[in-house]
Amino acid sequence: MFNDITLARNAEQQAGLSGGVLFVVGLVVGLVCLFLVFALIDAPVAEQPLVALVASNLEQSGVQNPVTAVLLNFRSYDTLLEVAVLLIVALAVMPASEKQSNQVFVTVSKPAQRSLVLEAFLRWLLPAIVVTSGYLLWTGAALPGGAFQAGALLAGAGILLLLAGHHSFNFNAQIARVLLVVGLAVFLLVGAAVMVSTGTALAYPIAWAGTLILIIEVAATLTIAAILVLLFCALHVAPQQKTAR
Amino acid sequence: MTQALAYSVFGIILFGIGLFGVLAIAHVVKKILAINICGVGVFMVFIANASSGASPDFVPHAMVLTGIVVAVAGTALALSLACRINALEKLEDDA
Repeated sequence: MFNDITLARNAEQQAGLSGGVLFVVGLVVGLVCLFLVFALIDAPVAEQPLVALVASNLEQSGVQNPVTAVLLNFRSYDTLLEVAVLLIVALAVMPASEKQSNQVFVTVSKPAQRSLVLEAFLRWLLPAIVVTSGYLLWTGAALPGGAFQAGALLAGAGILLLLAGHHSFNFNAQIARVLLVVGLAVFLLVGAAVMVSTGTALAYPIAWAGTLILIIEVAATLTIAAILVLLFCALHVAPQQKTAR
Repeated sequence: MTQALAYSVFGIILFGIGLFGVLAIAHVVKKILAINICGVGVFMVFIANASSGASPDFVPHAMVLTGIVVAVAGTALALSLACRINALEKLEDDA
């Protein structure tokens, strides 16, 4: 469908920029790059006080992986806002309709054309992907991994399901809406709840930090996967069909 | 020239290629792709600088991890807007 956009009136716009203008733009961009490179070389070597700070506080974070500790404990505010950004994008691209909200989330139907390769692939890969995603989520506490990687893998499983053609998702269903917001909701709830014991939002008590981070990560994984699949679905619909409705 | 600096410089070059694309190309989808190339360049500079010390700095790593997800979401939003613009232009042309 993006070919479609190519064929639209953009061709005449593209011819609009003359060679001289292009040359000037290229020159300016080149100068900007040169400036950035010299600024980089000139910059004093940073002390990196944060490395030592993260390493010395790792025991308080409840996880052993420093990246996860930064993401979900030391700078969990960033991650919270990021899940919020994802939700906002999901709301922006979501096909809004009240009618479909009482229908089921996943519908199974006979595909117009069967792809034997994809179906065989799916049978082998889908369980493996789900298990691997769970492993990545769990291992995020000690090794590289965590909610984003696990969520992206799960989304891959969902997109594979879509491409095989048997299943279609209705993101207006109640369950889907719950999935889209559960990450942010759990994050906010946990963040607010720890205020009771520590007095600061998102400052987990040390004894509970590991468990709370795991709870947040499970919810965030579901939300990230759901939103990524939704983005794929929203862009999969041809624009002509959109306007016809 | 250290390794980290080399990666940083290539990150900046990638950023420059993306910037040129954003400024010079009128085509909407290619513009969105160019913005993505810009973003990859920025991530590269970030990570390269994080690794220049004895042990890698974890904070930029975490930032880039969140940045990638936000970039995907932003691209999807931009693409859906592009589709909408395209659909509206079609309507205008038909009318």
